[in-house]
Amino acid sequence: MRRTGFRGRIISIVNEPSVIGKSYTRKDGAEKVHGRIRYTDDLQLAGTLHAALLTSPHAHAEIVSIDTSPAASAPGVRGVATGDDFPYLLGIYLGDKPPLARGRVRQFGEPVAAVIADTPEQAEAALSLIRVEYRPLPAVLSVREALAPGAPLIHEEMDKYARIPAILPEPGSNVANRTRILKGDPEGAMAAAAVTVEQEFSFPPGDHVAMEPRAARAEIRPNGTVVIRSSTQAPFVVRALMSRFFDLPPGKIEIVAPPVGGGFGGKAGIQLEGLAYLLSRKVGGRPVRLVNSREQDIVSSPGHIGMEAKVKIGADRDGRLTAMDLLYLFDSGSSADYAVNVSRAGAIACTGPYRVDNVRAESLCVYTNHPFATAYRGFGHEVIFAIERALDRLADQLEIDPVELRIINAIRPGDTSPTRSRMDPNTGDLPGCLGQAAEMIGWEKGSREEIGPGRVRGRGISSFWKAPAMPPNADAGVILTFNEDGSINLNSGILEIGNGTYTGLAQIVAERFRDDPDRVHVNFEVRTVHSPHDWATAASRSLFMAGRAALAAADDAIARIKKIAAAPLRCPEEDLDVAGGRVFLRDDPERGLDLAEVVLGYQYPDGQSIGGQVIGRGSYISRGLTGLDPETGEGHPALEWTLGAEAVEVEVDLNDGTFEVIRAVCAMDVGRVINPRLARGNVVGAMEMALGFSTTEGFVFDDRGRPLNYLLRDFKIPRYGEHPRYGVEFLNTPQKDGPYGARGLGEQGILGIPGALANAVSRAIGRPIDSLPITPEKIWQAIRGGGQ
Amino acid sequence: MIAHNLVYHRPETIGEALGAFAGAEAEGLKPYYLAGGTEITTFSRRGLITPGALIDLKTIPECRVLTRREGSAVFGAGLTLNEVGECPFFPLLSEAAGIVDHTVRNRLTLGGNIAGMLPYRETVLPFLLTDTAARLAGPGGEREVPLADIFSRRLKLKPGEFLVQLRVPEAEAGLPWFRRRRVKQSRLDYPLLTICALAARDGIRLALSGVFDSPVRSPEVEAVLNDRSLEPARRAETAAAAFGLRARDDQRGSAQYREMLLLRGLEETIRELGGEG
Repeated sequence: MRRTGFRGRIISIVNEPSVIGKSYTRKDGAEKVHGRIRYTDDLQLAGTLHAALLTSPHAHAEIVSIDTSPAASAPGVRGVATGDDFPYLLGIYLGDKPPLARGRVRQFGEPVAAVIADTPEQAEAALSLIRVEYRPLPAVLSVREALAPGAPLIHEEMDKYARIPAILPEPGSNVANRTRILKGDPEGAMAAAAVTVEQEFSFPPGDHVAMEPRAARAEIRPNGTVVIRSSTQAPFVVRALMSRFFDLPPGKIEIVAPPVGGGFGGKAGIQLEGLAYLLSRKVGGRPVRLVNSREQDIVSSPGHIGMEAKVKIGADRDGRLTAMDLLYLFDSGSSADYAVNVSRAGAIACTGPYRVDNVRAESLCVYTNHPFATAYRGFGHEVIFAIERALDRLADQLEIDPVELRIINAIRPGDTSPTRSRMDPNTGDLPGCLGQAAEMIGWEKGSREEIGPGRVRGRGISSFWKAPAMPPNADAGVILTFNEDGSINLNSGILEIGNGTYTGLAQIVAERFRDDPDRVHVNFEVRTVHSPHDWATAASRSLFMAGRAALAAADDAIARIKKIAAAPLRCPEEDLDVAGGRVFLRDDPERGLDLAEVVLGYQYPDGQSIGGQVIGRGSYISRGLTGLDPETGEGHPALEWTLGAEAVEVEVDLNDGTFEVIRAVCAMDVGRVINPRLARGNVVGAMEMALGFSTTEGFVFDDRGRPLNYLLRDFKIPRYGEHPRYGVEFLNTPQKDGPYGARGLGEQGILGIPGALANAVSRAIGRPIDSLPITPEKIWQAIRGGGQ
Repeated sequence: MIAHNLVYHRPETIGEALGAFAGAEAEGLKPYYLAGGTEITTFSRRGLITPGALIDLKTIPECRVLTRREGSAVFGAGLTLNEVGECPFFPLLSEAAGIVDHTVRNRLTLGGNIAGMLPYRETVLPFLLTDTAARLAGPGGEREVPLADIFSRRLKLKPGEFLVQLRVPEAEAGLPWFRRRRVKQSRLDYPLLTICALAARDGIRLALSGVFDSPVRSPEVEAVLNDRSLEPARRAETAAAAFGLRARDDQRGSAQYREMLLLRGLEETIRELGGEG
C-alpha cells in the first residue's frame, strides 16, 4: 500500500520536503474526466419551480409599459415578476443594478421580467406572452462617447447609490470610479525626456465563456433560513451582500457552493443569487431554479471588460524609462459590478513591471450601454497590453533590442510600484524571466524572419505582473478533522473553480504530516454554515492564503496529537515527531503510535480514554495592506507580485493577413512550485484564454449597441486542436511568507500574451497593430493602409 | 433547450418517413426532416422556427449509403461529415467536408449541410462541379434529377420532399482539384471564402461560398477563367467581376476584404489548375 512506502521512509524524510514539488494527480480529476462531478445544476430537488427571464432587445430604452397578465394565467405559471416588484439596487461595490430592470433598460439582454412555473418549458412558453413597450433612447456606444460633453447619463441617480469607500463615482457623469496615481514629477520628467512615444490602444468587451453557465437555486425554509445553492466563487461575499441588501441576519443565510465549472472571475461577487432569492420569496419560499442559457450567460450576465488606453512614455538615450503619462478608460457597460475595482487594479499595476519614478495615471471605470463587465482572469492588469506595445515602439525609436529594453527597466527589489509601495526581497526575478522567455522563443533568430514568398515569422515579447486585487482584510481558514485510520479531512472556504487548488492544499498539509497526499481528503463543497470563512476564490491568492491557513491548521493538529500521545508514550511532547501516519520519539522512531490510535482520542488497554478527537484550526489574514490615497494613489494594496515574461511566434501571410500562432512561451517566477503539472496546466490554460481574447473573441456591435455575436456560433473561443506549441518554465525566487515559498500563478499567464502577440505580428508586417482582437482582415488593412 | 413540445419520429424506410411527414401535416403539426439537428436546435431556441414534428432521416438505409457502383460514387444524405471526409471516392468532397472540428463533424450530415437553413452549404460545391444526380423522395414518389436543375442558391425541394443520395460519375470525382478556404480567424468559423475547383478536360470548373449570399457556380465566370487569351491576373480580375454579385459585408468581414480574398483565390486557382507555367 502507498502508506507503507511512506512508513519505510520515515527516517530519511524527517528533515526534507517530500511531497512539495511533485505532480500528484488532481483530486477532482477522476470526477471530471468521467463527467460525473456535480456542478450546481446537476442536483435536482423535488418540488423545485423553474424561472425564466425575458430580456431587453434594446441597448438603451425606456420601459413604457409591461403587460404580464396573459403570462400569469398561462399553464403551470406560479408567479410573474417585473422590476417594480423588487425595489432593490444590488452591486458588490456600487449598488446600481436592479434585479429586474426598472423604468429603463441599460443594455441588450438585461432581464426585464421573470416567470416562475412548474416546468422550464412552461416558464419559457409564458415569457412569449409578456408584452413590453419600449421607447428607445440614444445608446452610448463607447467610453469616449460616454465621456463626451452632453452624453446621455446612464445612471442619473448615481449620487444615491450605496458604495464602499474605495470607489469614487462621479455623479452627473458616466464615471463610476476614478483612480489617480501621481508619483514623482511626471510633467517635468516628460518634458526632459530625450525620447517619447505616445499611442492609443484598445480591446472590446467580451465574455469568459465558462463551461458551466451560472446557476442558482434558492428557497426560504419555514424557519426563515434562506438556502441558496449557487455556482459561485465567493459564497461568503454572496452571504454578506444578501444580508446587507435584504436585511437578513447572516446566520439565516446558507450558501451552498459546489465545484464550479470554470470561474475565471465571472462567478465572483453576486450573480444570480439575489434574483433567485426574490423569485423564491414571490412564490412563498418554494425552491426556485434560475439557470442561464448559454446566450444569457454571455450577454445578460457580466463578462470581460473592454478598454481604451492612451499611453505616453518618456525615456533617456540609454533606454531608461523616466516618465509615464497614462489614461485607461475601462468599459464597464451598464453596471459597475466588479468593473470599478478592475479599473482600480489597472491603476495599481499601471506601469507594468518596470521601475518608473515619475508617473501620472488616471484609470476610469465608465458606464456605457454595452453588456456589463466583471472580474475576468487578469483583472485590469490587461493594461500591460498597452504598455508592452508602447515599449516595443520605444525600443525601435531608441534602436535597442526589445528584450534588452525590458531588462534595463525591470522592476527589482528596492524599487517602488506606482503606488509607491517598496518591492521587497521576495520580488521575483524579472530579468531572469525575460532572458528565459527570449531563449525559449528563439529570440537569437531575430524578431522578423522571411521564410518564403510573402510569408514571414514574427517574434514578440512582453513582461507581466500581477498582484491580488482584494480587500486589505481578505482572509482564509482551514479546519482539519480526522478519520479512524488516521487520515485527514481538509475543510476550507476555497472552491474548486478549475485551478486544482485542493490538490495543492492537500500537498501542503501532507508535507507537514510527512504523509501521502492521498491521505488528505478534501471536502469539495463549501457551505457557509460550516466551512471556515474565506474572502473568495479569486485574485490568485487561494493557494497562498488558504495554504498558510492549512499550514497553521496542520501545526495546530500536530501539536494536539503530540500532547495526546505524550502520555501513553511517557515522554515530553517536544520529543515527539509526526511522519508516515505515526507519532513517535524522534530519537527512537520505533517507539510510537499509529495516528489512528490518537486522532480520535487515545484508549488505554484497560478501556480508559484520553484526549478526545483532534481538530486542527488554521487561519490567515493578509498582512499590512492599506487603501490608496485618493489624490496620489499612495498605499500598499499588494499582498505579493508575481512577475514573468511571455513570448509569441507567429507566421503571417502578407498577402491576405492570415496568420498562425506557432508557439507561445512563458517564464514565470512563482517561487516554490507546489505541483508542477498543475502549475503548468494553469499557465497553459491562461495562455490559451489570452490567445482567444486576442484573436477571435470580443463583442461586435451593431450601430445601436446590440451585440451581434452572443451565440457560440459567432463568438469563437479556442478549441482543442487549434492551439500552438506551448512552453512553460518556472523561476524560483521564494516568496518567504508564502506556503513553502509559493506565490500566486492562476491568472498571470494570460497577461503577457496579448502584448507579445501584437508585438510579434507588428514586427512581422512592419506596421503597428494596437487593438485586439487581431484578425487577418485587421492585418491586411494595416499592411494596405501603411502602404498608402 | 427547445421549450415547446414536439413529436419525434425515427422511420426505418423512405415510405415510413414520407408517411410520418404527411401524417404530421394532417394533424396540423409543422413537420421538419431531421438530420444532424444542429441548425434545428439553434433556430428553435431562438424562436425562429417551431417544429411540431421531427422526422429523423439518419436511420433510413438509403440515406446511409456510401458506395461505388456502375461508374458512380454514391453518397447518402445521412452520412456524417466525418464519414464523408474519411472516404476516398471524391477527394475534393472529402476536403470540403473538413469544416469545423471532429466532434461537430460527428453530428453534421451531408444532407443537412446542403439542404439546411444556413447559407454556406460548403459541401454542395464539389457536387455543383460535376454531373451529379440527386435522388429525392417525396409525396409523389422517388425521382432522380440532375443536381444542377434543382440547386439555385439553395436546394429547391418540393413540399414534403427530402434528399436521399447524391451520385457522382467516378471519372469526374477523380479530377485534379483545388480548394481554398479563408475565415475571419477561427478555423471553426463560417467561411469568408471557400473555393472549390476541378480541372476538367474542357477547363477549370469553379464554385464558391462565403463571398456572396449563397453558393454559386457561374458559366460566365468559368468562360473567363478559361480564356487563355487573357493573362492570368487579368483573367482573375475579369472573372471576379463576371459574378455580377455584391460581396457580403457583415460581422465576419467587410465586402472589401472578401473581394480581395476572391481575387487572390481566383488567381491561385488559375495557377494551380490552369496549366499556366
